[in-house]
Amino acid sequence: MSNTLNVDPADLSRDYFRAKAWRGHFRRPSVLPGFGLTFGFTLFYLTLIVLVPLSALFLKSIQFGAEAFWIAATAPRVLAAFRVSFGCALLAAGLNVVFGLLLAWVLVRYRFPGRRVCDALVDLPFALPTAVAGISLAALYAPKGWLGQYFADWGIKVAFTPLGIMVALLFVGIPFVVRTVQPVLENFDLSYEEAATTLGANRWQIFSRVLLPALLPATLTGFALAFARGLGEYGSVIFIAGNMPMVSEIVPLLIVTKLEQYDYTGATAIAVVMLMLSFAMLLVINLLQAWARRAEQRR
Amino acid sequence: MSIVIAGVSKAFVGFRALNNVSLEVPTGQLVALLGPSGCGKTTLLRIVAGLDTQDSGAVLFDGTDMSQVSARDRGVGFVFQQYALFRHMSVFDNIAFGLTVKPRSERPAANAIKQKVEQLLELMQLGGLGQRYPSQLSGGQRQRVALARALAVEPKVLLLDEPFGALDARVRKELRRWLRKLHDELHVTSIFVTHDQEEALEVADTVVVMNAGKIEQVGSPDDIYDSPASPFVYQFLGDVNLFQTNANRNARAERLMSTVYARPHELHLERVPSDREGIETRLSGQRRIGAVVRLLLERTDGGGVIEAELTHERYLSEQWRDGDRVWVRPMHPRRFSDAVH
Repeated sequence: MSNTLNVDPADLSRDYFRAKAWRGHFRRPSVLPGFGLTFGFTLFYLTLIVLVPLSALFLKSIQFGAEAFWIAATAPRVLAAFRVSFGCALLAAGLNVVFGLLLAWVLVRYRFPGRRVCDALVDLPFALPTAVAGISLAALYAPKGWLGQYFADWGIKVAFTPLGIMVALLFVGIPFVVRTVQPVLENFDLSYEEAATTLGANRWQIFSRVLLPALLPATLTGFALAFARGLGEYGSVIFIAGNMPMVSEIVPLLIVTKLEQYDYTGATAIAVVMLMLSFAMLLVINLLQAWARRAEQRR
Repeated sequence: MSIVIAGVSKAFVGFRALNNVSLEVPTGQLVALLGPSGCGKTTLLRIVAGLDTQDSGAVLFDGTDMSQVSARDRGVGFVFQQYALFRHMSVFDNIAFGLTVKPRSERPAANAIKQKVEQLLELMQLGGLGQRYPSQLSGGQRQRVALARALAVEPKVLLLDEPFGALDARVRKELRRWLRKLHDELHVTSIFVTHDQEEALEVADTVVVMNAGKIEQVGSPDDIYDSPASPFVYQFLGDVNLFQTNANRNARAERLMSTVYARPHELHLERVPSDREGIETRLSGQRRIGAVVRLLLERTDGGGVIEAELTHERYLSEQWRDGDRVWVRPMHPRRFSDAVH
């Protein structure tokens, strides 16, 4: 190879890429025109719809001063509500992951009469007004209700306890897991499982070592969505929760209660803490997801 | 381990994939299942592996009926066309998979597994790639990893489903020579499926030609090429010219209408007719493909076009021009009675 230029091509390209690096972070060559316009619109829209309301919340909370904020945010009743909200949402999302995977598995892998109906049923919690869901769940699981009476025989109270909150969150969260895992499972080639079988793996080994790692990113997404939905859920929960302070009161309800008592400091403080906690958790889940995706198909 | 396939049939909804297929594969042989897509060759391979079940018939390994034995316990190595490597595992973990899923009592120690995998990596010419992930490998490397993974559990039978189908022509050629060499070293009874006649003829000890769920012919590559048992086999193994004998003036011997088959490179081409059997044609087109030149010869009696192949050397020395009159005579004419069709 002759190099008459006396310049290392690598140097040339390094400078070239350094010059382009800043721009390159924002822009990739594309056949579609209008990056400037669409990117501008995206920023504007996100600001208007998401950022402005949230910053207004923060600005409002600053008005009250740090001390008032701290007292409002760390009141025992508030801390209890946080425990209930995050605890129930986490547990419900976790359970939804287990049963959502199972549901998605059955819907994708088996052909049975009524499969389409089952598939459509999964979406119902998306469509049903949450209050309707809450009221019917409360009626069913009340100690004298159709289902509640059997639990009552065992001494288990479902409605009007944190357990009831979980039931409501299981209901609203399940479609998120099923709908994120389903397409991935549909695209998962059977030959991976067949390969594992011929290599001598049993069903459990195939599930845990071949299938689950491939489904992990989608499962985490489903978990994050179900969890986020569970944190913010209001309509269905308040009817079944009983709403006892310190025991079964969720954060969104506490905020509404504070507002009704004209305690704007309290309401805002709780909302800001809630917002930060949710954002932090979603960020962590997103990072986990990105890590899982990289691990799943390293490039 | 010898394999016997006895009267295996398999039907999918609205379509018979295999129709009473019987075949014997002696221990240590490398057998090619050759046929067009949809002929049932992959289905047969999957039935041998236990990944599909036959509707009737039996598969025997060393005389033992395998019908009730699951794919997991058959001790076969299976290599998939699309590799089916586990994407979230490194090359090393992929190859070690079959060893690490063994029950604790049979599982080799971590050291032994490591040694075995390293040894396979060397054998597959993949040394130093153990920590890579499948997506970081080329197609040819991936297929070798898949092969190493299948061999790690020391299968008694190796089954390969279109192993080189997804690779480009050059890598494919390299890999099939290498597979032949590997088989000569390991001597594990192997069946591979292919639709590429060149691949089958080059690699296999025995070629099994299949069509429409049936076996057309079983034989050594030479047998199959030199004495094809049916028009299908003849046509599937290479380009072919057909001559209807009733168009031939010298058809007195057989009143029965039959078709003569001849390969493009097995034709006598003469500028001056040496006997009355030659078919008169006019050169209507020519195309050079590397070392050979393909001539299109249009029959003057309106019987269609004959394709002939010459070496480029001969083509140059004989100075062929479009419009030349040429008399064509098959060198080794093969006759199949039309009743066979």
